[in-house]
Amino acid sequence: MKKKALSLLLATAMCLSLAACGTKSAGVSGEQESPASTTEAEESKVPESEAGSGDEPITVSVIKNQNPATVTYADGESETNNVYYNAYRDELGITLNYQICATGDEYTQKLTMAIASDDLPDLMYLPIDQYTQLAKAGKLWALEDIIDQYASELTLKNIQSDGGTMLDAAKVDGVLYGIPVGNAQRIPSQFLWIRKDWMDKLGLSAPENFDDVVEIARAFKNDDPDGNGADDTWGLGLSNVMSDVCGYGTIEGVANAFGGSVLNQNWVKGENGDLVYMATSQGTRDALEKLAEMYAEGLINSEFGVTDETGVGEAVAAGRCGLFYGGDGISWSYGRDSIANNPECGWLCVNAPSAQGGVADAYSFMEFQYIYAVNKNFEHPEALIKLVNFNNDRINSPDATLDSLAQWGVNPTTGINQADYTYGLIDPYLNKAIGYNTTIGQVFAGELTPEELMPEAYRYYEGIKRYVDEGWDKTGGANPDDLTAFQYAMCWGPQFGSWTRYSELRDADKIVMSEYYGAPTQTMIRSWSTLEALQDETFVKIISGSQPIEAFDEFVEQWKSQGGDTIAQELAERTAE
Amino acid sequence: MRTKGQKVFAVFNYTFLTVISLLCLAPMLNILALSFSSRNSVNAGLVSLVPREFTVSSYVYMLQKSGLLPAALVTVERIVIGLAINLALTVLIAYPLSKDKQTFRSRTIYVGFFLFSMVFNGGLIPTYLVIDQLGLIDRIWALVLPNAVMMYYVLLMLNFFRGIPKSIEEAAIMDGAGWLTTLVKIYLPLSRPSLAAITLFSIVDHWNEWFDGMIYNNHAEHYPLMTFLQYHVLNFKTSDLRPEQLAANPALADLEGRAIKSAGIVLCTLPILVFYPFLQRYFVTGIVMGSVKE
Repeated sequence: MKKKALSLLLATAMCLSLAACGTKSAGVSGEQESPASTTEAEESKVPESEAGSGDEPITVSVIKNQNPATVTYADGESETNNVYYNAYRDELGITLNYQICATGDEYTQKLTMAIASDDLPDLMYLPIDQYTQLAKAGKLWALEDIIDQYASELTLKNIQSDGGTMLDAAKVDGVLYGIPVGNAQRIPSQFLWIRKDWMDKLGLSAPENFDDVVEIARAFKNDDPDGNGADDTWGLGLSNVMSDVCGYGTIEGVANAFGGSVLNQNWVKGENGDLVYMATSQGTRDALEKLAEMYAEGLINSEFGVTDETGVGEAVAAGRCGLFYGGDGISWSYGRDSIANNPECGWLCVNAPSAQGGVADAYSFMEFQYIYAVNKNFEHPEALIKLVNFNNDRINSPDATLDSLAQWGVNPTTGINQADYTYGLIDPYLNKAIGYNTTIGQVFAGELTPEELMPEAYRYYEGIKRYVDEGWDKTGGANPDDLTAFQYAMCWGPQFGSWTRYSELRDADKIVMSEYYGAPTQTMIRSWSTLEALQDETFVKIISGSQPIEAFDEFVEQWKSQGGDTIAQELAERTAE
Repeated sequence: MRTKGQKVFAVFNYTFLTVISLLCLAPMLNILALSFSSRNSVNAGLVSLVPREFTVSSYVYMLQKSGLLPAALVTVERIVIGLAINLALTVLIAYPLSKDKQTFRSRTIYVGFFLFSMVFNGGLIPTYLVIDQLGLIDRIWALVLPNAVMMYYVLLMLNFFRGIPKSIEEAAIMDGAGWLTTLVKIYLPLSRPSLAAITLFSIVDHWNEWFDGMIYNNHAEHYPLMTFLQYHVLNFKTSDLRPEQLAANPALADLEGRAIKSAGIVLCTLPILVFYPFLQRYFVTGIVMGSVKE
């Protein structure tokens, strides 16, 4: 919330400053290069080994969103001395000059300041709002021709892996000004996670419809599943996150069960062709009504209104919560801790069941993280494509081996991921983990040999193999001394892993994609945070029973009049273009 | 003999103060306990004031982290340079301003000028642009020059100088001393408590300041300690990473934020925490003496 408000503020500040600086488009990039690094580039010898090199060595000023808190360098290495930096310099003749290297709000702030002072670097890594602003202000290169001319086959394959939808979505007024980083389809977070050991103990079976879920919640709440004699277990674990993606205790799965969705990204075509914001739909209303009933019966943690994602996660790790809707990655976070704290514990992941029975439709959207773009004043726009090609050949190539990955990817001894040092790494828009999950499943089914796996998938496969060999797949538990295996298995394992559930959804065509993606509209920038707050507050109040379900209709009215209708119009105009 | 009422009061007083001090102490003890606990205990919310499943792995991670030592060196550098600049300028400004209007005729204008800067400033982005165009970005000077004159220190010093009897100065001038000699030989030796207080203020300010370190540095290796810490406390969130990102980064997979952050907080707070009690008494005497005027 706070972050969003801040970024909106910054975006507005930026618009103003762009307008102010629009007249003097200074070619400052040349002056930015520090004399030291230029001489360094000239002195370095450029062997003619890499295709596409052989041009004059150039120094390129860049900004990078990199988190110093999580990026680690091996001894003696640094931002400007590592395998990628050196290889760019020696093999491509491209010396990077980092102007900004930060993350989070700080990155946005610095970027805003750089834009405000018209001090743009040659290559940029932009959030979608800033990208759109700069593209409209004519400060970026149109990249389509340059991509056609310079991109390698592998690069083209990766950026077309989703059928070109991401690139289309990144176009501003029909022109492509950058290469997006992101996901053509974000994995839904409506998975229902159940403590399998509790279910077995109470003689319950996996839920077929939403009533079964209520049944399990009732049993978990009342029948003392952990057997400690105290009434300390939750029914259905819920957090107060009512509009955002949430890994623990989302209500998205419940909304899906009744044909709704609460995620703030999801705009779907309605019956008469209008765009409908799913949180205002009848399905969401039904879901809230049902949740209010459950709350009144005591099946939901009573303090959910002040419990965030972390609070639900803690209850999971401490063994108080054994039933919740959430994301795919619990085995990496609190799910793993629940097993470290209690070796009896085991987990079952199913797709959210619908009210009528069977798997409910899930909702998803196209996820833009950032966009690489090139300053219009920079004379070598192809440098970006060369960097992308280079990185793809190292990380995403089918020819990569365990040895080459040890050099360019994860160092097996230190565990450091050297791909963090890249500039311009574009992973396939169709999440590559989908492929990993599928091929690992095929190995277990005997259709592939382990050697045919991509090296990265092979690493996951080793863990999952250990997990299955020790028989943990039957209980959903894990060896407390080998939680790494559990991490991989509960994500990408065959049959039981969350990504297998995701694949089932995809295969059954049960994912509805949002019509909205990319940059926020004018009215969104102005009033989205208010609308979201309205949604959060109203939903919590309805579930906790402090307002009757009729408050939902009032919410829809208010939501529409406070900007919702205008946004729907803006989005409709945009999709019509 | 104390009356009954006094005894009752004493009991309540002690109980009340004990509760208050425990309230101040508890969060620190909690941080300390978190920093020594295992990941799964921390994530299950089982740690309160005593470490659970004792481990030092968080400290090992923080101390091995590239960047902690360089950041500490930056902080030392800014304290040394910043303190020298602060002290010199504070004394040089406070001394003339402490004279009366007959001696220093345009005094009012100068006081107005300095007070104005105390109340108003250029705002974040204009200030940034100035620093940027002076070429200070990513240099230690950006951390010490913008706050070279702290008006609060000047006021403190000024009031202290005024507390020194005028006749001492008159005697010195009678004996042939100039203004500068009077300042160095008479005023400064007499103002030791106040100088000590300002020194400590300045050190603590420079130690604690993180925001300027963040906005005036574009590279993490130039961060002072507190910016480094703030960065870790805010951005070390493995829970925000997607499983495929974590899987691609085994060095992070075993870590989870809170214990690590707590270890960082303990490491970065420890030096000032150890020194503070010894230095605190100067704060009190220095400020009180500066505030009394004839």
